[in-house]
Amino acid sequence: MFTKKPSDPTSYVAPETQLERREEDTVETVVGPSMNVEGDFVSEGNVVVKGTVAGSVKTNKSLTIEQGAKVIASVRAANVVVSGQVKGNIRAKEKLEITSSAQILGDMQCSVLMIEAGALIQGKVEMAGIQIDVPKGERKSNSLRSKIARVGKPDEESVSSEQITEMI
Amino acid sequence: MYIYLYDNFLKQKRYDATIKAMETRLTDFGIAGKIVRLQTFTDPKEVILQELARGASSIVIVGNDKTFGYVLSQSATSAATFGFLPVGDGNTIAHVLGIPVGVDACDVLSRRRKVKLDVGWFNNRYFISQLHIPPSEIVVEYDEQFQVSPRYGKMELVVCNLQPFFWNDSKQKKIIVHPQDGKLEAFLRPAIGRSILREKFEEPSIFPFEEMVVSGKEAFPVEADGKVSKEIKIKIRLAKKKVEMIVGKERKF
Repeated sequence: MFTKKPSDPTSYVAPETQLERREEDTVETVVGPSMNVEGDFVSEGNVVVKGTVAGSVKTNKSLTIEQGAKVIASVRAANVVVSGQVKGNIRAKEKLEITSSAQILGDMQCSVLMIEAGALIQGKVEMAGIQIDVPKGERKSNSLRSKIARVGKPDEESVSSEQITEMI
Repeated sequence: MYIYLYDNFLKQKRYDATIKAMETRLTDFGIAGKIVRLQTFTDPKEVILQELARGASSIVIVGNDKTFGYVLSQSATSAATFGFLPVGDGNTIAHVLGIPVGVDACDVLSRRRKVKLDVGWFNNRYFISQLHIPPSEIVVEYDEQFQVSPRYGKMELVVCNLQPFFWNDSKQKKIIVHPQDGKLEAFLRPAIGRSILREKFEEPSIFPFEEMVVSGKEAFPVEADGKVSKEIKIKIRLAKKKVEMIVGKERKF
């Protein structure tokens, strides 16, 4: 008759709303304006840099380098926003945003790139997903043009005008 | 069996009505128990161990943040379930735990929603609410990975476990610290000068961590749950799921 067991008050499962609230309120890692951080700086949450960081910075979420901040380190994050100075390679899994006050000396790797006018950059940009198909005819004429160009150069082995007509 | 640890300040007349109403509510719920009044020289750990040996199962702290920190920092290792009935002013931890201040806290206690809380540990001592180092010349090393130091002068350090660290940034954004996120939060504020009355601080740096080492060339004061000591090097760590606590539905973690 009384087979139904009462629910155990200790086995409490947090409802969805509470889990959501936990997500919203996560404390960010903040490096203050007059702080120096040295070493491998690894974080699982959002990181805001206002001071100086030397070594490496890694996070699974977003990294914001604010104006006035100096990062002499390799950077790896899901999203990166640069407004300060960075000397080192930047690897953003998703988006890399470079604002007008940014100065970057290093290579960049990302999926989406946004650069504001006024930003100073020296380095290589690499983005995945480039598919540029070259038509067949164009490829042939390209190879021919390169061969002809080689003829014009004095250091390369000499090609006579008859050979050129043969090629054509 | 429930044991109620009353703080000494509850003797004041202005708390009489609240305490009376609480006791009536607890009797209605059938969870009234023995009352122990904490005096200045009472060792809460000793009291709790004695009562557990006599068959007590739940220890309920009645008071404010200070009472909560004082009792739990000394008895975090005891195998009891803790409850909290916040009374009067200075109750910030109760809000984090989802326990209303006053008589309504008895309802939360009767529901017995239990959660294991993380506590902080430093140099063989536990701390529940907050650890505070006033402005000193210190260097902080996090998780043996990176080192943090101020560009110039002294800095203040606050490590939060249960007690929130109140600070409004330039955008008036309030930062809330969660006791159950599996990490401790350290707030570092470099002192950038001094006004007539107090020191001026820069906006704080925030680092969540599991282990940190704080060292200084000279001894610096450390205040943990109201107890002050002087140290030259301290290791702060998180002791995960150390204290079983009855919490409310509206808790902040």
